[in-house]
Amino acid sequence: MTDDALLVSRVIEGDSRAFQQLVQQHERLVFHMVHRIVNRSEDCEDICQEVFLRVFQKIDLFQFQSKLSTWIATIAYRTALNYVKKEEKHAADALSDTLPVASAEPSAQEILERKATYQYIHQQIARLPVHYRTVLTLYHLEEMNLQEIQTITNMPEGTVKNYLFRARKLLKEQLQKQFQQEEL
Amino acid sequence: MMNEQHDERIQKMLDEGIIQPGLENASEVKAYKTLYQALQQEPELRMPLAFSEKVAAQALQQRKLKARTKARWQSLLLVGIIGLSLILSLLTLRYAYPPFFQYMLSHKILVGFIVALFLAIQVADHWLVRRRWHVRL
Repeated sequence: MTDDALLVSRVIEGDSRAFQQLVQQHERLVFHMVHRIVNRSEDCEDICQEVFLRVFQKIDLFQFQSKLSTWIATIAYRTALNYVKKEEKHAADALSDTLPVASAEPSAQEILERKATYQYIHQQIARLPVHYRTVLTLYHLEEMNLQEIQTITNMPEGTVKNYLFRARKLLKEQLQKQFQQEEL
Repeated sequence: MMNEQHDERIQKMLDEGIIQPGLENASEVKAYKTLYQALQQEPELRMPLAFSEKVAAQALQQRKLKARTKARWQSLLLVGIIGLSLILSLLTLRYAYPPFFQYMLSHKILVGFIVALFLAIQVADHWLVRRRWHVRL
């Protein structure tokens, strides 16, 4: 029996320590995903809690057809996406190929002076459409492969690839603009 | 289109970790490299303290509540079935064996005692079963 299978069977039996262990093992993944999708840190904890409560309720339905982390990520993705849909019905979640320009953005020089290029990129990621943010997080931060992302998001592999490409291209263009401004 | 293909090529190279010689210093490659490094950086997240303990406690509480609600509905169903069967028995007696029904009416205390005893046994049995379920949970 694998570690995941053992853990799952203990959780089904009602072992609270096993569930605690499961939460500890996956909280980083869930927090990253929810944080990137929801983009509001104040709601992040509540949503993550909801994700794990759903995991607990549905764990007896887990069939080991995928990795436990993939299954949990799927629940996190759906929960967070539902939240976003409820909260921001008319927000800029429709996919567009242009990034909104933030008002009063610091200049590139200021950013570099503060050695905050990464922070700048993370700010730009937050402005991307939700699906772009999701695939970027799963691919780069969680190091999942395209098949796993496909399972989690229920998007065709081609779409995942396309979102990944477009998201990175958009971010690169923003970064280049900042580099050019800095050179001027 | 050409631009897109160029971007695609650079992204593919960086995904595979192999950069074509001569392209290392191209501005686009540099921008992509910075981007890839930033994407792998964990965002600054304030993970709540004792999150797992809190969630586990809440999950167990929910499960107990669910079990209690289920047990209550089962009790209600059981009482309903017993009540219905009692009424049906009395009606059957009234129409099928009128003299016996009349006899029962004239000995209300005895009948009441038998019914109360039967109900008490049912309740005690159910209580024991429910207690056992709680032990299992």
